[in-house]
Parts: sequence; structure tokens; C-alpha cells
Amino acid sequence: MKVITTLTRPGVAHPMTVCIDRLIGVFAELGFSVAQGPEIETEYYNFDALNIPADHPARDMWDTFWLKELAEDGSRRLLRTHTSPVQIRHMKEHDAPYKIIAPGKVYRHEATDATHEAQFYQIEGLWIARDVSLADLRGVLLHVFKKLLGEDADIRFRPTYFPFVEPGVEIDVKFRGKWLEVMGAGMVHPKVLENCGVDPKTHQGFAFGGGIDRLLMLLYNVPDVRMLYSGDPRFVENC
Amino acid sequence: MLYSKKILQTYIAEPLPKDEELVERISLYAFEVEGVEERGGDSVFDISVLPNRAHDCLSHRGMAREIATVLNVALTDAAQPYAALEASTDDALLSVTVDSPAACPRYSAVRIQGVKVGPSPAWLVESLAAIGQRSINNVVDATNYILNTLGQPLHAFDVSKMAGSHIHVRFANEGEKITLLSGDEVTLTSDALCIADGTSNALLGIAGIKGGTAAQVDVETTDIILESANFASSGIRKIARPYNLLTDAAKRFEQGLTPELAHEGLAACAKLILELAGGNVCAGVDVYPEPQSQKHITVSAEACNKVLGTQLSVEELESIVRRRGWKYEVTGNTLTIAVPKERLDLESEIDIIDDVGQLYGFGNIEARPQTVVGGEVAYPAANTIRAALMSLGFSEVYTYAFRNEGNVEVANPIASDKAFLRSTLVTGVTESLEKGLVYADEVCRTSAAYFEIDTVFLPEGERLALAFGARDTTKKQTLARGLMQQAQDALANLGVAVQGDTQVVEVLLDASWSETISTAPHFDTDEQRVFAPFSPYPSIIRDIALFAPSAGIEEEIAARIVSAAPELVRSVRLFDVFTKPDEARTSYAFRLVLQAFDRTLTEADAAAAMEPITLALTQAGYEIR
Repeated sequence: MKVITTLTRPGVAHPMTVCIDRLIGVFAELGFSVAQGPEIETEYYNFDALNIPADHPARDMWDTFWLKELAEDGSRRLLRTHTSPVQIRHMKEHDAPYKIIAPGKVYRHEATDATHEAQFYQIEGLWIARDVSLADLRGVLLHVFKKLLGEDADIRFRPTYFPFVEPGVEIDVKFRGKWLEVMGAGMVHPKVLENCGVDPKTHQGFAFGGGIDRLLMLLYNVPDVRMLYSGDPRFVENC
Repeated sequence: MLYSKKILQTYIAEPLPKDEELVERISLYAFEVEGVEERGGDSVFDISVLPNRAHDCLSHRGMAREIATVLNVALTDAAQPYAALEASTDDALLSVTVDSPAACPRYSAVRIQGVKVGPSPAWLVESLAAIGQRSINNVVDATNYILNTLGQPLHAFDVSKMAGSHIHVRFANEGEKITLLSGDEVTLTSDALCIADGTSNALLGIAGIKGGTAAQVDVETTDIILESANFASSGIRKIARPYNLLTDAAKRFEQGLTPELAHEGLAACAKLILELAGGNVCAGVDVYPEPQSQKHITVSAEACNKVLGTQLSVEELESIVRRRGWKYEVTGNTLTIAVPKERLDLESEIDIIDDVGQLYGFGNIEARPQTVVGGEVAYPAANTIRAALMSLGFSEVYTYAFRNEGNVEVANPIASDKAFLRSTLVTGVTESLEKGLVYADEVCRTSAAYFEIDTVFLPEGERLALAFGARDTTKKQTLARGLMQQAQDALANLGVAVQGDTQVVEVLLDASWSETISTAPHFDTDEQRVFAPFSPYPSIIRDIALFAPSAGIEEEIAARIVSAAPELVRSVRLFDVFTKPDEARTSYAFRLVLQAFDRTLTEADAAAAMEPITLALTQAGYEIR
């Protein structure tokens, strides 16, 4: 039961705004700053620079929205399918070391249902320096998830494959006694570093990417992801 | 891919653990297991094999080898490589011409005469059924069985339906047609590599993808050519996808397969066909002009430790490499590994390190403690705008980027009315306002006031925009207009100039608003908000107004209402309070929203719900108006 005893009261922020702020705050504790990138991307930044060439089976791992109008140079444009292109942009525009997160909207050509939407939010992370390893990835994510989900939270790594990291891992997080898949991660592939003008012989590190929506739904007890973008006031006012 | 535990077991020397344990070991050290199903005494595992391991693990033998490595158990003889089939070459009986070795690195085949095509034995029918495959006849089933166990696609042609016994691997002529085994007729381009009858030039199949009806094996067949070949991945992918022919064979070739597997597949399949259908091998051919070379990769323990964050010694590295069954040489602190030919994914040192890490167990890598830094945090600058509007009572919405109009068009929309990226936030906010008015009482607001800050897509590019609006239930919209004026003033103070007298106003924000700054407020307080589900059924509003002797006791009165109120009361909101100057009493007005989750409420329900409330308030000494 909602009880309101003031004649006026402030409006509320959307839970996604709150979640993103929370993530920014927790990662800032470990020295991560925020980077951003455009939602309309080039095929190069979204795929090729990330070691996902056209005509390669790995391309099937992402269902892409393509735009009708080509870029000025005749290349294809798309809506970014992940926040990973921001890594590429950041590395090309700055010198190493890098310690950034990049929350942002991404798009996937998927049928929508209670747990799938065509637009959703991801958060990307990148830490490249002289000797950043998977042990650091574990340390960072353990700190972050304990802050977000409580001291009982735990994480585990499982082997997987993404063309832009090697080794690649799936990260599960233990929340309320259950293991849940939350993000993919791994050591940035030397080819990707080279594509960005970073020498893999002197620099290395990890990248991670995960959806924020599922985490939000867990924390806020939201049953259907489509509520987040419906604009229905009953959603945000009831949170 | 589906894997039968029974078939996997034939390759592994020790009994496999129980399903649950096996799933866990595979998931933590090798692949993601999507599910396990019990099927007539067998367990069928659905294991996700991603593109980097499609080369060697899209087969029961390949997966069994990986599982044996993970469990650290030995393999059976069945898992050992097959020796090449002994078959004499005889051009008169069987010959092959390959136009493009680049497109077809290897073409091996045997001719088997005197086969009797018929139904397959029960064990084969069951094995195929377990992994979701239909039985067709003994010859076709044999090729299917070898595809699923060794990972080598094979195809059988009926020689009596051919003009001779010469196979010509050539590209199709532009526009050339073929009727596939499925019955579909396909028109090909000159990109499509085909298997043709070298004598009549007729097409017998699309290479590595699907066979045609021309030389189809049926119950009359007695004389076959069994093909075991290798086709370049890009050529396969170019044809299989656009033609929607991603067959089991195509899936393997398009992800890359070692040509070294072809002779094993041929030997194993020929043997099986002879067993099931009789006959004898009268000729063989192997066109393999450039055999795959042996690759070597050097790895050091130091390099492994640097990436994984471990402290492996050279000896520990060696033991992991030995578990994988790789041949290697040690030079000081480095190992030079002879890369198994089926492992097309192992290209450089980092790939070896990944395999080492997997077997070591990524779960065994300890966390390196991180340093917590203090200092200011930079939050989104737009939060300043959010905070200003929220303090006036505007709440934030997020709406869809896909609309049925806009400047930027999507080539492959998910729906015809979602073919554009929005060029304005006004549509979305307007829809929220409309809903906000309908549900105002349910969300405990006097008026609807909403805003959105997000990307809009204009001809010149993406821009961050702000749209906000207010509406109230009165005709004159006085409350709403007041809110809009306050909002415009607040925004002007922040340097955001807003024009417009409409219900929803939009403004494009400067690039600086997209940045993060240390002076921006943030909304992640400690309080954990939880979503309260709302009912789809209509609500009933009941207002209750009363006089109380004192001012400032709204909370106390509300508490009494709450403790007397039944479940049906979803909210209690103070909407009016005044003390007349010359009176010693204060008037309080509360709005109650009654709603059920399972039905529409009736007047009787409302009356029944209000009774205990009015009773409690009267007993507390308040005068109900």
C-alpha cells in the first residue's frame, strides 16, 4: 500500500538511470571513468575492428539492424549490436593505459518477449595496461558485484568464445542462491589491439560487456523487460 | 549440437559420470550445455559449440576427446585415428577432376559395387533417432552416422544413374539449374561449386551442401561412388546462406574443417557400408595436391602466467599440454607444440594460452585484490536537468526508438510500423502523458508530468534531446501550465533555452550535456526500490474528508486509515488540507485507490472496504464530512 502525506512530491527517475548511476559509482571506486560512443555505427567499428570479419560464421552471433542509407564512403551503417565499438573508438583516440566503462543503448534484431527487447542497455568495460590479467578481471568484477548484490554475491568464469577476446569467458553471478549469466569477457585479442595501434607485446588487458536490463530486472523485481521502454507511467511510478 | 551419451561413451575408456556432474564439468572446462534429455535409456546432451571449436567438436569423437581431456581419462581404440582405406586407383572405374583446388582442397572417393540398399539395423536407427536424425536407408544412414561421429560429411552417388564414372568438381554455369534431394529446383550462379557427372556434364549436387536427384541412391542402387571431400569455407558460406541450405554438411564446411579428416571419414564410412549393405571396394581416388602442413606454436610459462594471472611452472604447463595429447619439445622455459591438424582455431600463442587456461580451469584463477580510489565521481551531466525537473514533480520515462516515421530508415525492421529511428521524443512523451492522465490516481499524482532525455536521429546525425510535458484533468490546464512555466524557468537557469507553449516541449541539448561531470547529481541512493506490480483491472476511487482538532497530523490520520484498510486499498494520498483562520480544526482530504488483481471491483466491494475505515476514523474522534 502506498501512503503519501505531502501535497506535492518530487518525480522519480527511471530505474535504468538509477542503475547506470550505480554502476558508474561502483566502477569509479576502482578508477574506471566513463566513455561513450554513437548508437549508429560503422560496420568496421562494430565488427571488423573487433576481429569479426564479414563472411565469417561468428557474425551470426549478433542479429543486426542495418540502415538503408550508406555512409558517405559507401560503407554499410548499422545500429550497434553491443557497446564493444566504444572500446575501439576510445583506443584509437587515446593512448594506453585505458580504464573505462561505457554504458549505452544497443540494438538487436530479435523477437521481443518478457526477457528480450530490440533495444536494451549494455555496459562495456576495458582495462589495458602493462600486465592486466584475468586475475584482475576476477578482482574487479568480484568487488563490483559484491557492492551491487551484497557480500554474499560470488562470480564464476566459464570458457566461451568471442572473436575479440582470447581467452573468452562467460561470467555468472550468484544471486539469491542461483547462478545467473550476466556478462561475457576476456583478454582483448592481440589482433584487436593491433587494429587500434596498441602494441600487444607491451600492453594487454581485459574487456567485458553485459546487459544492464537483466540485472535491473533482478534488483527491482521487474517481470517483463518491455516495461522499461513502454513509457507507461505506471512502471516508473511503481518502482 | 545433440550428443548421445551412449555414443560418446564408446570413445571413452572409463564410465562417464552421472549427467549432472558431466554437465558441470563440461560447462566449467569446455562448453556451455544448453540442456540434457532422457531418451529411452540414453541421455542426449545439447552442447553449444561456438565457431572456434566447430572444426573439431561438431562430432561425437571430437567432443568425446575433449570430455576425456577435461575428465583426465583415457580414450578407447575407437577414438584413435582411422587408417586410410586401401583401394587401388583405376581411372576406368573411378576418376576425378577438380577445377579449383582453392575451392576444393581435397576430393577423395571410393567406388563400391554390389551393395544391397535396404533398411538400417535397429542400433543405427536408434543411434540416429537419439540425436534427432531420421533413418532413410542403410547407405545414406551410414554417411549420416559418420558425419555425426567423426564430423566428416560424405555423400553417395548411384553410378548407374551417371553417364560414366568420372566426377568433375566444377563451378556452375550462371543460371544452371539443379533439382535437390528435397525436391526443390534451385537456379545457381557461377559462385556455386558443384559436383558434376564428368561424362554427361549434368549436375549431381552442390558441393559440400546438398546432393541432387540425378544420381540419388535408392532401393535399386547396387553401384555407388562414396565421396569424402573438403571444401573451402568462404565458398560454402556464400551459397548455403542465401539459398537457405544450411545443411549439416554445410555447417561444418562453412566453419572450416581440416582436409586431413577426409581419408578417415572415407575409411570409416566404407567399412560401415560394407558391413550393412555388402559389396566390395573396386577403386579409390584421392585428389589432394597440397596436403595441410604441420604448424608449430611456441609458448612459455611466463606468457601464460601474464595473461591468466597464474603462477604455472614449466613443468605444470607441460603436464597440461600432455593432458591435451599434444606433441611438444621443450627448450628452456618454452614449449614448441605441434598443433593438431584439426585444431584450425590454434593460430598463435594466445590461442594455446586459452586452451591451457581452460584446462587449468578459469575458476581456479584467484582474484587479484584491487585498489579502491577515493575522489569525486563524474556522473552524467544530464542528471542536472533530471534533478531540476524531478524536483518540480516530473517523472522520467524511456520510450521506443523505433517509430513509423523519421529521417533514418532501417533496412530490416522488426515490424513494418517500426521502420524508422525516431527524430523526436515528443511522440513518446505525449503517449506517456495520455496514459499518465488515465492512471493519475493509480500512480498517486494530481497531474501527469513526464520527461525523457535520450537520443534522436536527425539527418545531420544523432543528438541528445529533452522532451517534457504536463497535463492535468481540468479543461483550463492551469496546473499543467504552471508546471510547464516552472520547468522552463528552471531549465533557463541551467542554460537550456526552451521555446514553445505546447503541452509537450522538446529541445536539442548541446554536446556538453552528453558528458559526465563531477558536479552532476546522481540517483543511486542506498534505498533499494522494488517494482510493485499493477493490476490490469479498473480501480475505484474513494475520497474521504474529515475534520480533526489539530493541524499537522496527516501522518497519524493516514496511519489509522492504513491499519483499518483492507487489501483492496492500494494507496492512500493526502490531496487537500486547510485550516480556516478562525476555526480550531483542520480539514484533511485523502484519496483512496481501490483495486483488485483478479477482478473489477463493484460498488458493493468499495462500500465494504470503506466501512472499517470510516469506523476507525470516527472512533478516533474525527468528523467525517
